[in-house]
Amino acid sequence: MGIEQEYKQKQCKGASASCHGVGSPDVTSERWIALTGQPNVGKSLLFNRLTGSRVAVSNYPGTTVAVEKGQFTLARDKYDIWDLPGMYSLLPITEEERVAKMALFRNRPSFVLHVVDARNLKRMLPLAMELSETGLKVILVVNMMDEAEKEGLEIDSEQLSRETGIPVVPTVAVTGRGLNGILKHVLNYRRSNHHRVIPFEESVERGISGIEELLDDGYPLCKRSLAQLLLQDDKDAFNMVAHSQPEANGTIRRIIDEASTRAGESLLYLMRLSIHHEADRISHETTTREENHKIQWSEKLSRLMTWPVTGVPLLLVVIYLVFYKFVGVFGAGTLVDFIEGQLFGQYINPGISGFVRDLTGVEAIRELIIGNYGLVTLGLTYAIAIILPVVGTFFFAFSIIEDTGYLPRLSFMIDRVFKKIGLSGRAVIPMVLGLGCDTMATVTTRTQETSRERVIATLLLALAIPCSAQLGVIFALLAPFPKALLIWAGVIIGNFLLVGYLASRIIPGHKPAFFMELPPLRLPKISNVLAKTYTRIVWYLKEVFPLFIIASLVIWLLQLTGVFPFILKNLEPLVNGMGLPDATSEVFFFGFFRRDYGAAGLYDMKEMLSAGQLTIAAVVLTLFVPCIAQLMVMFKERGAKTAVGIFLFVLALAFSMGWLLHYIFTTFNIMI
Amino acid sequence: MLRAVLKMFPVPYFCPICQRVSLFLFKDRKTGKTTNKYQSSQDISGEEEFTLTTLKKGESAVVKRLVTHESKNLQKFLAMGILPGRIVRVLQRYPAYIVEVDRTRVAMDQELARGIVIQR
Repeated sequence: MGIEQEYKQKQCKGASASCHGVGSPDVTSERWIALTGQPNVGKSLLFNRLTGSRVAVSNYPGTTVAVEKGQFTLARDKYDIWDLPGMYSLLPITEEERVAKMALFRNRPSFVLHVVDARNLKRMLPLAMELSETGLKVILVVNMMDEAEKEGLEIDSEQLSRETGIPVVPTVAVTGRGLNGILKHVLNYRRSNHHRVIPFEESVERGISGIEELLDDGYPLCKRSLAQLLLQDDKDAFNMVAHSQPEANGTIRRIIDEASTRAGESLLYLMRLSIHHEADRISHETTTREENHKIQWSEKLSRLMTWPVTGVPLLLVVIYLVFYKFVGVFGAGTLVDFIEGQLFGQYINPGISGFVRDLTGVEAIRELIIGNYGLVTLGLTYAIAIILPVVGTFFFAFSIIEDTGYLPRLSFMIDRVFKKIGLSGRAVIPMVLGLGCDTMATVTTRTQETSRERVIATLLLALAIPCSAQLGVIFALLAPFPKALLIWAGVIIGNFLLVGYLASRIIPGHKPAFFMELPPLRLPKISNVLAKTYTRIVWYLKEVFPLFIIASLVIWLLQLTGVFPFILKNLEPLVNGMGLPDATSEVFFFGFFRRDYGAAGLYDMKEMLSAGQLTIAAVVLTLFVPCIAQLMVMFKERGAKTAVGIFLFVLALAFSMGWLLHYIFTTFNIMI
Repeated sequence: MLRAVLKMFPVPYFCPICQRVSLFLFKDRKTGKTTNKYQSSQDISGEEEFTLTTLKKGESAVVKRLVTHESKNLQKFLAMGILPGRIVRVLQRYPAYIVEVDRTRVAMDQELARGIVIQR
């Protein structure tokens, strides 16, 4: 059983020599630190602790999908610190893992804080060892020591440090325990004398040394490490070689083929096994455990969440309480009524109106600030009085859900349904995030494995996932008419499933595979929930405000020049075709700027519309074009062709659905 | 009878993961057993093998081999600590599989679970 072999220690040949002279182009100071580790081990939490920033922290793998940058001061020196997305190994599976890997190789940090989960040392050590072999200065941060201790695990960090040749710091990032230890190692970095090297089978070792001899100096990672990546058929490694030594490519390929023939099995498989066996050995020698078989509350709850008989009702309860009761009725109802009706309606708007009227007599300026589409009357009111309460309540509730670890379990439950629409359970997280803000969620589609899944997820986000502001306003509008709410939900869900199904049929590619770690359920920490809600609201307002102000300005300009009425006139037939009055063309025009802007506009004219008209308008606005910000992200993440395609398709489908609904309502004389 | 014949001849099998017809993996649909003659050098004997999907809820077994058609899937297993010699326990089978290895819980669909060959 296993691969018998002797474990050896040797110096990483050429590590320092080949690594010198590689600059760090994106970094302002000379000292900079990268945070790495597998997903969901607490990198972002540590980042926040060190820098005092408030990057989103949640209890599911893949919270961070882009590099977050920060700074902190230590012994009067400024350090740059980057929070990288989680990665499982140096061979990336998903896009965000590649982002992390390339950030390391392109910029060569002065230190790497490699964070691991103390409870799962065995499967986290391989990456630490691989990273150390690349020649980077790695500090091993063994996090979640509290949870490990609770489970009866004891880790000998001195022994671990000797075995891996890396300095080790035990920490609890949630409380800040062990943080000073990290800083001490940063100030005074000492690698053990013998640089540890992962031992491989004879055939592999021969391949490694063969390739090592061929490689020039000047790669951003140690030759032995690069040779290993090449033997494991890593695309990025081949690109690096093709770039610096195109002539060596053929010889390297030949060496790999020879090694592969000698080994008689897939090199990747053999090498991964060797790395993991070495990690097993180390973890075995450094960890002692007392059996502790107590079934905890989280166990029972986890079972309730994943067993369909209880899981589905639980999901419905969550949707009802969170989205309908809290965001819809409380946020979009009670809070909006108070802020818009009382604060803005009675004090702020009349106050400012009076002030502006006293100030100037010029009609155009009055229009700009307090007119029907004025900066205050439209821009400020919509942003603060209607959108903010809805988005705020949503982000608060969503932060709590995120921190419990419910979302991965939801992914598990819904996997079979999502398979039908060409996605896997993994796509549940971007979709649920989309209910908060589709722009944010479109970036998160990076966590999907294949480009096919990413395209389908992006399409569905643009089409059928309403953002929280929309959702809240629509709930508030339709709440008095339960039947309307049902029709709206039915049409949206129907479109989601149907378009997803068709897209999965049309877009070529492999069937998605579902594979996901289920983190333990945890009790949300109120401080983290509040911090996250705050950060997201600030982010949201920063994004919303300029756009709302610009929208007000543009409309004001268009009105001055007479173009605005012209556009509205031309939209009218479109709107009338759906059985809606002329005035609603304004709402759709707003919708072009932002989804929530349109929703807020609809809220403004709710008295004018019948229940049936409200339903149609709500459906079309939900399906309707993504907002400008989302469209921009779509261009960036999926490319112009896909983005334009999705945009046009969504636009056509949204209006067709509006017409279809109107047709059905009138033909069958359905009254709501 | 039919099953015996199937075992003797390499019947093309439609691989659910790579969506290709594969000759390397012979599968008995009823039991979910797979026999794989060419993947590993140690198993030329062609013994009957069982995948994780044959385990009942709550049962555990030792991983014998990993059969994957894509290197990505192999990496996924290994990243979660599912490798030959480890003990895996099936916690749930429907709507997908939840597998426990050490302190890690992994959710996966049936296609992936079929890639974990166990010792019975």
